[in-house]
Amino acid sequence: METVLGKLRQSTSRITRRASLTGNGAPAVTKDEIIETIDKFIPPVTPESDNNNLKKAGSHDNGSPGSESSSASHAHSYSSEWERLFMRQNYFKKLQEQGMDGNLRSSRFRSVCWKLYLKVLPEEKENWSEHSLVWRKKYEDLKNKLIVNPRKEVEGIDLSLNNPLSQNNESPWNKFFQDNELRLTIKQDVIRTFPELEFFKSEVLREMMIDILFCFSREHYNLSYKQGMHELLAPLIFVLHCDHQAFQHACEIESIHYVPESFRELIKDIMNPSYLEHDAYAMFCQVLETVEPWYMSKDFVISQYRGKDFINAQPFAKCQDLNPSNRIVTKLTRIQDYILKKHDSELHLHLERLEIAPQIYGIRWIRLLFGREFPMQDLLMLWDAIFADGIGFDLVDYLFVSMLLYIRDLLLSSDYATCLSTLMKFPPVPDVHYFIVKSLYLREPNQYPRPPNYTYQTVNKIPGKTRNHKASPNPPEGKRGSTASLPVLEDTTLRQTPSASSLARLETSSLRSYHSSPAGYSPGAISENESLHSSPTKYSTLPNRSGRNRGGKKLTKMQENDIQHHLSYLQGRLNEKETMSRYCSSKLDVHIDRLQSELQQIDMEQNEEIFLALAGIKQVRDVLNGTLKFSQNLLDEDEININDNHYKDDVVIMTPDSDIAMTAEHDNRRELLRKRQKMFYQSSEENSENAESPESFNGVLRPRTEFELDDYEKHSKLRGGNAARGNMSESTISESQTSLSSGNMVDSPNPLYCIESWEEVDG
Amino acid sequence: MLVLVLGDLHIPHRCNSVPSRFKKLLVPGKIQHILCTGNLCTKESFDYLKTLASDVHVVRGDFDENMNYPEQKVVTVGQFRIGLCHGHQVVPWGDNESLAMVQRQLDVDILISGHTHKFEAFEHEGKFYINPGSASGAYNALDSNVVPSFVILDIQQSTVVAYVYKLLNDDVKVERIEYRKC
Repeated sequence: METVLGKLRQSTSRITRRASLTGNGAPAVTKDEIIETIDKFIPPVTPESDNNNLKKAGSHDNGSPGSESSSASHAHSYSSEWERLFMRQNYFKKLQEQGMDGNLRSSRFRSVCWKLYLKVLPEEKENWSEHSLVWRKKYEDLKNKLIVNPRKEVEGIDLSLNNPLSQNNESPWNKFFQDNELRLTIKQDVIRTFPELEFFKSEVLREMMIDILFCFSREHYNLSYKQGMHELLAPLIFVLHCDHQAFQHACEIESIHYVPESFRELIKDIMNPSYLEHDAYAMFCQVLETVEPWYMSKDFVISQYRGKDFINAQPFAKCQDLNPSNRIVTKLTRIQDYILKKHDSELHLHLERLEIAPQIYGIRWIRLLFGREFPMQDLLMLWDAIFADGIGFDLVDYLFVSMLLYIRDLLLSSDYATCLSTLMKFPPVPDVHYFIVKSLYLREPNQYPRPPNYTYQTVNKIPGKTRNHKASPNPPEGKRGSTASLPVLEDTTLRQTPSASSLARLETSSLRSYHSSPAGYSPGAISENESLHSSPTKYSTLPNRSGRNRGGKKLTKMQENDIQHHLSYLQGRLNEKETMSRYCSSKLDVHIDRLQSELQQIDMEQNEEIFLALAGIKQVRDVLNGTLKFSQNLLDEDEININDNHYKDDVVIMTPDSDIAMTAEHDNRRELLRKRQKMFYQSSEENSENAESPESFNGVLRPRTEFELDDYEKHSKLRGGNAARGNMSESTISESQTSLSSGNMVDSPNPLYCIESWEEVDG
Repeated sequence: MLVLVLGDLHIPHRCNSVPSRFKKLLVPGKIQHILCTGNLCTKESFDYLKTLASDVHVVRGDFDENMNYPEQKVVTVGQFRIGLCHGHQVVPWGDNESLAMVQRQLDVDILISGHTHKFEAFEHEGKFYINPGSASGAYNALDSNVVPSFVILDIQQSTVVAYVYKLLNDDVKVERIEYRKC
């Protein structure tokens, strides 16, 4: 069975020989030929990651013969690699570093490195042969002992035992049948190993895997065979196979002769292809030694204490706390409650609220050492790092957390079902090395540089495939349980925009603009978006796909899919928002009625403030309800108003809150607001008879929902002056207007009516 | 490959059931084929055999209630051609030469027959003859003391090993006979 690298090297060697024949020392390998060779080979996993894989493998391999061509021809590269990896002083430490850095990606001695990491081979090279021999013999003996043929004439065994139907435990036939059962169980899993790779479909290989797993499970009776071990074994075999291919190839083209005499025998011995099974067994044993506790499930303990467990369970206990006897569960809880919480409490809280126990997705991640989350080449690189780090596989915990952090934005903005589906099907990653770096940093923040904060979105900045980087605003009572909590929301929004309400406004505006954008868009909204979001991509580029299309046809297709995906996602968000607004407005309604009834009882003519406030709240309710639509221009108006300073002096004093609101937004939006079109304020059916009147105004305003409600009063005082800006808030300015407004307030809560009457008054 | 050979149960006419010691040994999952010489006699026995293995071959005995079983059958298992016949057609009952005639007629390597309720397994003129006896120990027209017995054939390439299970004094005794195809 050929491998990528094997085939690659064959093709490159062919090309090199051709080139060398013409007298040219350097290999004339073109990238196209390499890619071509690879393309003939195995089906890639996902386009995105595979592009990276292939190109990286291609370029890397192109690089290594190329780089070494200056010193030696391609024929020497095998020996020079051996020397580079194993012949130097203190090579083991360097090897570990190489593993962490991902430099072993196309190494031909990866299996040897892994054997060193896993302590199958000792550090001193002199003892390598000896140790290999020991391991190999051990496996051979095991195999002979365990794979028993009951039909062999065994003298001295009583026929009453040695008959096929015997159910006696000592009967070889009985053992035979039991073995068969176990083998069948193993076979069911082995058949499904890495279904996407042709390599694992050969019968010979499957038999080998079954034998290895069978021997291991018979050897370790308490653990026996558990589902998942086959996935751990498979990459080990793959790596060994690749190296053996390389070795055989090196022998074929006789570059093995360039290795110094003393080590030639050693290499031949270590890389002997006939011992693939034995070496795989050795490595597998070592891996499982560490991984074993994760596979143990002490169910019997639970059933024993079943009665007591119920008594001991605390209210609000998480489901994972109820059976603490499982090692893997404790490990996962530790990862989530300790490491994740420390580094990202927001995500931790979010996952807890959704009650996504880490076992749901974590058991698979941990037990398979992320085997099913990444394509093979990426996985091997991860395993380089995990093994290089030490036999305790400590890095696994931190890798787990860095993976979660990578998709944090996705998780934070999803509900239970979406979160789970994302976690179960981890999105493709262009560079796995990032995880290694990040996890090293997470483990020892003092010793490693902080890596840049990539998340799934930042990495995948394809035009048309964009998301809001902010956490979506939460319904006040966390209704769906789907998004970040309110304080967290405020946290994030304060980082980027000054106030939560402005965020809400922007969200709705951007959503609305996106909603209508495929057809056409309001430039005002778009430009505002552009300014506020740091990235220039976004919805406005949707119609201009040609301008953005860097990646060629592939990207367009991806774009389309992404856009579709994005559309549906946004649609969902939009629906959520709408529901939220309606909910808010209904609640507000209730409270407004209560307030109003109370106030009416208490005769308070003097206290216009309260009525003003009430009117403001009603406006908010109407906005949320959808009966009032507001425009962006309110802000515009306000800012301009403030500068005009028509107002009373005392009123001009700004409160700190409004200060923040104003100044921060000032800087961001001043110039942009000018560009914006003035959108007319329109009311709904409630005020249909007054429909014309607003339009007669010039760019009227209204609900300044962008500010906090308590700011409303202040701002409402600030406005006014100009009678054309009919707003009830301006009633405070003149007495006559006050009484009028207050009267009007009581009669008709809708501010529009006030405006009308105002017009009459002023006009 | 394991093949179970049995017959002449005569349930419920002459016997209640297969002895419990035998039933304990006969667990599903180990046996691939069942060759039954006949005289089951009812469908219940047939269903019981069906639970032990999916591939059941039965030939018609003189007391079988199912008229549709064939009188003779040839089954190929591994490299062996195995002939199946109840044996009441062969006169004199259980005679070597007469059975040899049937063997030549069917052209088989192994001939399995019953009806005598007596276990036999011998090689004759290079061919193997097996009589599993009665699995339930039902009485014969000529013989009242019948030892319950059946046979398991372990067929591997060109060797067949027959394990005979007999119930003697409430104890299961096993014998082993090997036959190699020449």
